[in-house]
Amino acid sequence: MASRALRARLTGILLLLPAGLLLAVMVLIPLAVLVWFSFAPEGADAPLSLDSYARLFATPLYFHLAMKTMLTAGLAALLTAALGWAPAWVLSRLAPRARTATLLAIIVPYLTSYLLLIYSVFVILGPGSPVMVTLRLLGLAAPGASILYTQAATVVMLVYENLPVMVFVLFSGMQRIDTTLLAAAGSLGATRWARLRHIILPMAAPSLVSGLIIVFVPMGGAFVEPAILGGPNGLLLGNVIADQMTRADDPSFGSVLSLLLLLATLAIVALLAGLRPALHRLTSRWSDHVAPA
Amino acid sequence: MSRLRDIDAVSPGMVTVLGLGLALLFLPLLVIIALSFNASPYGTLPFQATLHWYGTLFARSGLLGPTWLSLKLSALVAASAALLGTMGAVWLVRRAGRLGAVLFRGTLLAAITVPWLILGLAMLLVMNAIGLGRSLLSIYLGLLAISLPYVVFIVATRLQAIDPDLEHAARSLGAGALATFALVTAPLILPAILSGTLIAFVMAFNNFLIQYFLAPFGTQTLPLKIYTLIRVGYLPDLNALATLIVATTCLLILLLHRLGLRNAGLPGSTP
Amino acid sequence: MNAPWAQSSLGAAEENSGLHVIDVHKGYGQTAVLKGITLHVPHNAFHLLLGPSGSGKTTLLRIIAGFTPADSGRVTLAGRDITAMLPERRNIGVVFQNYALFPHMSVAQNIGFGLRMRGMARAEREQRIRDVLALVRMGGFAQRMPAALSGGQQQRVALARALVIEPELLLLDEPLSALDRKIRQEVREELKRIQAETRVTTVMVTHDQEEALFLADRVLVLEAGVIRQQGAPAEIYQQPADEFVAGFLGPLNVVPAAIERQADGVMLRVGGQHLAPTSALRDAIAAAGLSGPVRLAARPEQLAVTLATAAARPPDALAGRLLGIDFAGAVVIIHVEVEAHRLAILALSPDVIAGGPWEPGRAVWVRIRQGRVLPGGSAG
Repeated sequence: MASRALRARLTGILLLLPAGLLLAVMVLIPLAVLVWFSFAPEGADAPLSLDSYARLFATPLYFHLAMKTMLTAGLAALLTAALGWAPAWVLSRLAPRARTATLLAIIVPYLTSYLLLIYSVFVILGPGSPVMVTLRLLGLAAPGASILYTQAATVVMLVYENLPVMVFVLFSGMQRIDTTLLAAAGSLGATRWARLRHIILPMAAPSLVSGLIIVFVPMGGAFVEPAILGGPNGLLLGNVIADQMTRADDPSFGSVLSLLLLLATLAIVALLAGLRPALHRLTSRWSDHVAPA
Repeated sequence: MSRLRDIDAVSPGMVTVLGLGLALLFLPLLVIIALSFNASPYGTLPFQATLHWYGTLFARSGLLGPTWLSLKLSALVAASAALLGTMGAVWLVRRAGRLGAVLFRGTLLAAITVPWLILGLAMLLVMNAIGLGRSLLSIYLGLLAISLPYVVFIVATRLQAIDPDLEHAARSLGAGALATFALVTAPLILPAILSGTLIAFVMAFNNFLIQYFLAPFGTQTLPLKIYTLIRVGYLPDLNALATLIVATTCLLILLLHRLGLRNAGLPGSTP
Repeated sequence: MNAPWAQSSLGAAEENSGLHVIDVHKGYGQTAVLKGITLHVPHNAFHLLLGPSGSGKTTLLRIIAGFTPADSGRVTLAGRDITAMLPERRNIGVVFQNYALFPHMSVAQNIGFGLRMRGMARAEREQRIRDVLALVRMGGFAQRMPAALSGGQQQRVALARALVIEPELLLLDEPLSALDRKIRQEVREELKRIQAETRVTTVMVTHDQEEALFLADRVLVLEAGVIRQQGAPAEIYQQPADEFVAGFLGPLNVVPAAIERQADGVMLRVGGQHLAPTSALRDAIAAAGLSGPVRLAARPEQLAVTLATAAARPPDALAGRLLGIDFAGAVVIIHVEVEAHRLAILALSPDVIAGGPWEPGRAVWVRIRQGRVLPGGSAG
């Protein structure tokens, strides 16, 4: 009946409405506003202009900053992948109970507020901490030295925060690599290194790319880490944006910079995503092209 | 017998690698936990065991107020996310058309993948524009927006896995739409709703950036308080608080595990 | 013919050829899985390890392939001691139960993998791949991906991959168990043909006795970590060493009886009936060397049954009652009851359908044409 169909439509809309409305107001509209503000340097009521964009292009500093931010985030992402690779592999080979226990353990730092994580790293890296004292006693660090307040500290912090996520994404992909495949490769003469190169790497590559994308995005927008740990030369684009929006009270320019950050991040993500088919083509370069008999 | 090892076996070398990785991961937190029991107010050795700081934490520390605020706020956000998220999930799985589903999913993904720096600032612009500005209501709305997606994805995944014939059976036996949902669907997705709520709680609690940009000056949630305190340096009360939080997180994770949630909202679990 | 020098040189050649497994033991924790396995697979032979799940056959295969070390014992192949050798050095081709084709590589790449590991040049590799694909009759499939292949096709690619490296030994781990029944028949015949053509030394593992009897030059029956019997298929089928082997290789009818020696020969008493044994049965009684209570064991095809007539029971038949008939296409299985024991008898369909009304309850006469005499077990 028409009324039944109508009632069905109505319930559908009612189900979606609260969530939809909220997301529209708090996500879609803000993003749209951001774009709009980038064209409104004189304030909300004045006519639109490209002045903020002009300012951006007139000052190479900001592009350098964007580059520096992307490089820092990129380096941190790669380091995270490098550090997370081996543990994720071992995890994927563990027996179910050990595996579950380890996974649950890894979730703990993931769910812990990264402010607390920053604080704990801060304590560890501070000159007075037991860790630095020990290193000094072992002769591995100069007295009074500390990597705090350097860009390295920012990178270390970003890697540390994102390690659980990376391990988990890599693990999900590696789980699908059946050990029987490695046995088969072994029976065909593949040594451990050959098995890594021909079986494990190609099959884990997609999740590697996913992992890089997933950790890179928040790293690009890093704000707290450079602010607390980065030192005087460690400020990244995120800090400048926040500064423009709040202290300097120039939301228009801040929006322009935000869009710059967003664009740069998206570009890198697109690059990474494009790696997947390229990786696949790379492995098939060694292919044996046997024409149909 | 010889160097030949079982090809399925996990060698001691592999276990060491994993162990080192885990040690690296837990070292900072473990240090803090250890130091929370250390008497020195500057975090120096020698180690003297004490529970002094836990007392200070509850007695005179300025940390409890923000903690309490964070808890209340996150609980409210989580409850709201549970309700709105479940409704959204039901719509997504049972009612949405192709276009609608894509748009909804896209928006949800945007909420959790757009750098929160940018999203938070953009939210501030809008809140200013509509007159709310920095306020508790703004924080509530902002946190709700970024925790909602987790509930939707977790519940939707679970819902999709339920055989639609179950609901058909209920309808054929005379149950209306609401009764079917209440008696058949809801009990089955309840674990997912609970897990989603817990994740939403944690996400809301921890999200510093949204809170930073939307909080009125003078109001401090726990992450904000920690932010201001970090510049001060070492703070033993904070160690005690951190220990308590980590302990609670562990309990929470065990709870999530019992509820059957494998991935705790980690990437890879979104459909 | 019996020249000693010929004997010894054969012995020396035998020492160095094929696969030798010498007193291999393997256990996991408290459980012993293999308890002293010794076997020899000559060059070019097709041997089959037959046993139920849990018998240790897969573990033995893994030890031979090098995926797991034996606790004690030795394994040699073509004269080399490979006991401690890494699997990648053994030059043994393995076909896994679930085929284990590399999902990210095409059929050609899968097959070429082992050749690439051996550093073979591309042109030669491609030629070999073409040749082996022709051997397994998968010529047009070179660029396909494993996911696009059916079970039977995947299995043939797995076989090709293992064969192309020209291994000294081919191991097959239950290669047919994942296939549909009809495909299984076809692939079985393919397997036999390919092994005959390539003459590669082959050891296959299975729990399916029909496969074993069909494919193998020699069958080794494994149970609970021990080889119960080894021999040619016909030998094992017709002269099983013990009840386990007999029962595992096919259905067996067992009837308690008593041997009564009389002046003019030997008589069997089954329940209340006297039975004059056939000459084959008399030989079996003599061979068993038993007297008094025994058990007669006969396979369904070794019994014969006819409808009883009004005449008296012939001395070489037992009187029984027809319980029912199962139609199985080419053959029928006739269930009868003799002296309170159920027997299953195999007959060709035309013989049964054509003759007379075979209804449950009809009186029948059962003849035991051949059988074995086992020691008398517990009553009933």
